[in-house]
Amino acid sequence: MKNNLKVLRAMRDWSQAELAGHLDVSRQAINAIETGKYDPSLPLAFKIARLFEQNIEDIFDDEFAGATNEQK
Amino acid sequence: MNKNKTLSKRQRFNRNLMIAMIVISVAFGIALNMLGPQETDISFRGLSNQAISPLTAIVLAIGWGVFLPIGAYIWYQKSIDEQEAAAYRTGAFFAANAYIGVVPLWWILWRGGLLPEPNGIIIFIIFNSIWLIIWLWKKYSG
Repeated sequence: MKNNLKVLRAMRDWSQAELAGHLDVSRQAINAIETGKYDPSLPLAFKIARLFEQNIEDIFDDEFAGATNEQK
Repeated sequence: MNKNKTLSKRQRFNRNLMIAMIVISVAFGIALNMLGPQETDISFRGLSNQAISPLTAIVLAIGWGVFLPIGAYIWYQKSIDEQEAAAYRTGAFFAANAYIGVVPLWWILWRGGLLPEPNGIIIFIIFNSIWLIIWLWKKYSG
């Protein structure tokens, strides 16, 4: 899943390891999320959103949002 | 910020648990050496089928059957994060499917006289190797 975690992290001048420390996950997990290779669980996504004071959908790109709207 | 401070609480626990498991493993190794001085180098190889003393067997069984599961449970529940847990489960999935595929295949080919008799230790090594490779690949490549 595409996301702007890397941008948000850069805005705070945090390394991946520092962000990992804030979220209590490994640096590999941050790297995997940033590169879109791993989608975080809902609890972790909420934790990320709270940390950056943003809504989840502002951080993570819901690529299926358009398709869902079309179905409606 | 020093390296220790950049490690999350979970990562520090993970590191400490790994150190504890290594210390316990070394202690087991030393204990086994002290308990089994009569064992020859050949008979004491962990994965051989050579006879070992009952006491050595009991110590190994306690290590493998008690300490390892407890350590693995704590490690999985408390130590790793969700990304590594997912990588671990993916490794287990591939290993289990390889097991399901390899064991009957080998057995059938053995019955047909095309392969030697299935060997549990080789199957065990294949299963664990696939699990470990996939787990580490998924963890470090995403």
